[in-house]
Amino acid sequence: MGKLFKRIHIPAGGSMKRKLFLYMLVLLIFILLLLASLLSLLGQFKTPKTSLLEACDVQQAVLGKEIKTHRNSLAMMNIHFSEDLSLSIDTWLEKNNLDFSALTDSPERVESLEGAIFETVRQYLLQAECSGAFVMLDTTVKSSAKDSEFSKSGIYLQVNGYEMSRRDVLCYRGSSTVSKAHTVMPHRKWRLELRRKYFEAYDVAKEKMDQPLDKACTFTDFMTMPGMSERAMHIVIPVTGSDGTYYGACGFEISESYFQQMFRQPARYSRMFSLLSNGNIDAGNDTGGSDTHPALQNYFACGNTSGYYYLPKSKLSIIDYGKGLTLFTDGKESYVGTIKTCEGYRTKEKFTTAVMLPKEDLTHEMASTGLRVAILILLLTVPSIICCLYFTNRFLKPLFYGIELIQKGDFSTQRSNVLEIDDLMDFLSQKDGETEKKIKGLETKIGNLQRSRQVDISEDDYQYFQSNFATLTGKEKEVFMLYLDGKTSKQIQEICSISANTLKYHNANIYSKLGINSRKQLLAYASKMRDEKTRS
Amino acid sequence: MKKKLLLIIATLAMITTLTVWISGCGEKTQLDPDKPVTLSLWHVYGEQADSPMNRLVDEFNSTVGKEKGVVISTTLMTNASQIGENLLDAQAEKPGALDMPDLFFCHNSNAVEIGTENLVDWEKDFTKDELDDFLPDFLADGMSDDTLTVLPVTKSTQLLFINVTEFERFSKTTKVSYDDLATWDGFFDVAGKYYQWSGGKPFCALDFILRATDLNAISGGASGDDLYKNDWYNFSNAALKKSWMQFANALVRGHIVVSDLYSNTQVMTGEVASGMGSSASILYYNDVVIYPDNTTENMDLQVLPMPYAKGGEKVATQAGVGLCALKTTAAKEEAASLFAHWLTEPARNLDFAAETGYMPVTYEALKVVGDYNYKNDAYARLFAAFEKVQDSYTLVREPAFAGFYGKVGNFYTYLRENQGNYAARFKSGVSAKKLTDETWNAFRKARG
Repeated sequence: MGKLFKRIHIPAGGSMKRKLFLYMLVLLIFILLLLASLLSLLGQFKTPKTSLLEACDVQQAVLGKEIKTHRNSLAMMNIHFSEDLSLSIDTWLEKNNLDFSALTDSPERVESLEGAIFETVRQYLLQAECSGAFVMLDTTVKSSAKDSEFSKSGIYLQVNGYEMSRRDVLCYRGSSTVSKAHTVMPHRKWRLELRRKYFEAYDVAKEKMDQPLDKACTFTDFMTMPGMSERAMHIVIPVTGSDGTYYGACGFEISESYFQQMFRQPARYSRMFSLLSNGNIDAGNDTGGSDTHPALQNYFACGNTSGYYYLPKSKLSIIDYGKGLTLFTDGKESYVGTIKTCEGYRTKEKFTTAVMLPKEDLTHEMASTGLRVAILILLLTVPSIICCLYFTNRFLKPLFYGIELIQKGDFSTQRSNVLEIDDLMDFLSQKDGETEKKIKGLETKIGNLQRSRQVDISEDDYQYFQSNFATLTGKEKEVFMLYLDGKTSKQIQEICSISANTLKYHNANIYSKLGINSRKQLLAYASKMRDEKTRS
Repeated sequence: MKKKLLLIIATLAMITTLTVWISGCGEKTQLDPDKPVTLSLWHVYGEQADSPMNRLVDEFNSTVGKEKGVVISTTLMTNASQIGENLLDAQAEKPGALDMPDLFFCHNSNAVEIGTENLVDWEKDFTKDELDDFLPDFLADGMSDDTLTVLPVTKSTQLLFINVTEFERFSKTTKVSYDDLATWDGFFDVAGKYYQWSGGKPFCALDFILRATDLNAISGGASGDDLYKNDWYNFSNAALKKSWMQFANALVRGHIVVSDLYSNTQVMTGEVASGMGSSASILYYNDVVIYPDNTTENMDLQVLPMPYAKGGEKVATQAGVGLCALKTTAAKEEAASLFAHWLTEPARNLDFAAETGYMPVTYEALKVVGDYNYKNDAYARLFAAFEKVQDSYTLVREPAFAGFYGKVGNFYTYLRENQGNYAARFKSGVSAKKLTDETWNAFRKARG
């Protein structure tokens, strides 16, 4: 860390203010980087896209597993359902000593058989996690009717509402007499027989009638139920007799409402929802336009546990959105999320799940994340600046004030309130006192010396000296002044370019004219004369 | 000086503008399109079948809801009786019960059971002018404790739905006509003739036989208020007994039946030639009747007003659930108000009513009911019957006592379980008087 600070070059010779500002700035950047690193390390520093991807992945995993488990459970139940129906029909045929073909054109026999298997269908409906259970028999009560080859006898029961406490059963298809006898009321859109063209499950099951039951289970695509706005998918399996006679198909219904209610997921995002498609993703084409991309076009939707539910109305083009996300768009509305194709456990039939939320929610999240980061930086920067200003006021200003006091030399009357500065001022004040003391001592000494000199100088001799000073020649005055300046004989010789003898000659003249006999006496008289001139 | 004054005025103007702008031009909304409020909805429109309400909800969600930040999510679609039970279960937080919905359609009696204090008062959300556009009788139907908790969205009445193909075969032989069904006496007479003609099939399945009993008594001159006592029927009322005995007489003879669940299914299976039930049941009628041998024939539905007492006043029931909103958060209440306003806009109200077989609830929508382009003849006949009811019948509100319909339901269950037995005993020689007395005693003993 020390090395890092050493590397940061703060220009030498700058002012304290500038240096402090730069150091504080470096500290702020360091704190920001540290915070970002910590958040990143703790997994809190994520972009909205990364967060969405993680949320979608979790939801995909949970939803995919729930659907797989549900399908596996239904497939297993359906095998038992088929076996039980097969046994019941065999028993009924044996008891009535009839062949299965004897059911055709006999409403009474069909009604009797339906009565025999009604409870089986109802029990499986209530035990299985589904919205309906059905058996389509390979027979009709009126073969002479128009399109009778599409009409199949059977029982189709549905659960009315999905409250756990109240699972009322309704008879959607089948004999109303039989259903009422079992206290099951006909559905509002009841009909007697099932139409093959509406229930493709029948044909699917017939194709697999020779396969072992664990391989004959099939999930159909979603279809709109006749007479209803409800869509549903079926899991279907053939029902065959012990002698291999094809009796028909049985299975369960998963309605859109059931899926919506039972598979809704807890979600981090308030408008997150999931779609389920039975693997029919339109691959798209290369002609350009909106059909270029693969698309989801027939799906169920389930919302989340907070109550949000939305079902896109048209097919959704699938476009890569980067960072593992997918953009789903119908041209008007766009959603962002992930898509995954899974395999069922037992049936090995693929299904696709997509988890998404409206694109504007992601855009909003990105904007709000940007805003949050900006606010965070602002929250760190503004207090830092305020702190800097505070420190400057509390720390630098007293320092500057102390320095100003020192510059003024005023050590004793005012205090800077900074301990170190005040100590320095005390120290300087003390030193100042000592110096003053020394100066005073020296001045005293000089005064004493002057006084002692004044005692040696005779007033008459000095008067004589003064009166005769004017008699000196120019050269003699020059030499005299050089003596007064403290120059030595040698220096005077050099300055005046005269020989030692000439100097002696001038000295002798000066001494005799001024009435003195030594250089010391000359200097004392000259000093006194200068003092008097200064005073005047 | 002038410059200084101008500067002060300009500054004040800027501050005012800024304040108004920040406060959203004075309109404070709790709704945010970026954070939509989700409201769960329970309704009755299209149970087990195609739901016009769900289509309206879709339309709302993708338009106004999207713009304002409201998502309506239908979490239960069933009949009014089930909604009533589910509401009480949800409120009591019974194990397995659904969560209490934010919005639901129910009867006034259900609203009373839940507690008026727990529900939004629509009079606070709708202005006086807006409420003035609703029919006052419909609004009065939603009042409890001087609070408008049940907002009328549509109203229904009870009508007689007849399988025309069957009736024409029958009338050819017996010379009966639709006019014979105008009065209760005529109705029972026709029912008896049909029973004979068909070899023992009941003529009509009634969904609400007790309400028919009330209307018959009121039509015959009884006061509606005197029929009830202590939140249940007043069994000392002679008009009530007289009226019930008429129905009981037809019932024990097998001429009419209490419907198994819904009269329309019994008409569709060919068990009966007609059904008497809510006007809204038209949504559930198939185009055809299917007999046990899978013979199918067109039904061509005829719709007539309820019969009335011979020489009496023409009265019809005013029924139908209304919209309630649970008191929760301010944002949810604002969202509920937005949806309620949107739903009751006259043009939408008429479209919705025309599709579901209900009467619209606003004057503006009712004015143009007759000119509407209905989707088929049955619907046109239904609304012609509506118009007849509107023009010449007095609409009578249904009882809204707490617990009333629980007792009604219990009595219906009793009748369903025993009506076959009564008819069989009558056939074996037991007198109608004895059997009708038994039904009267059972009626008196009915408890919730």
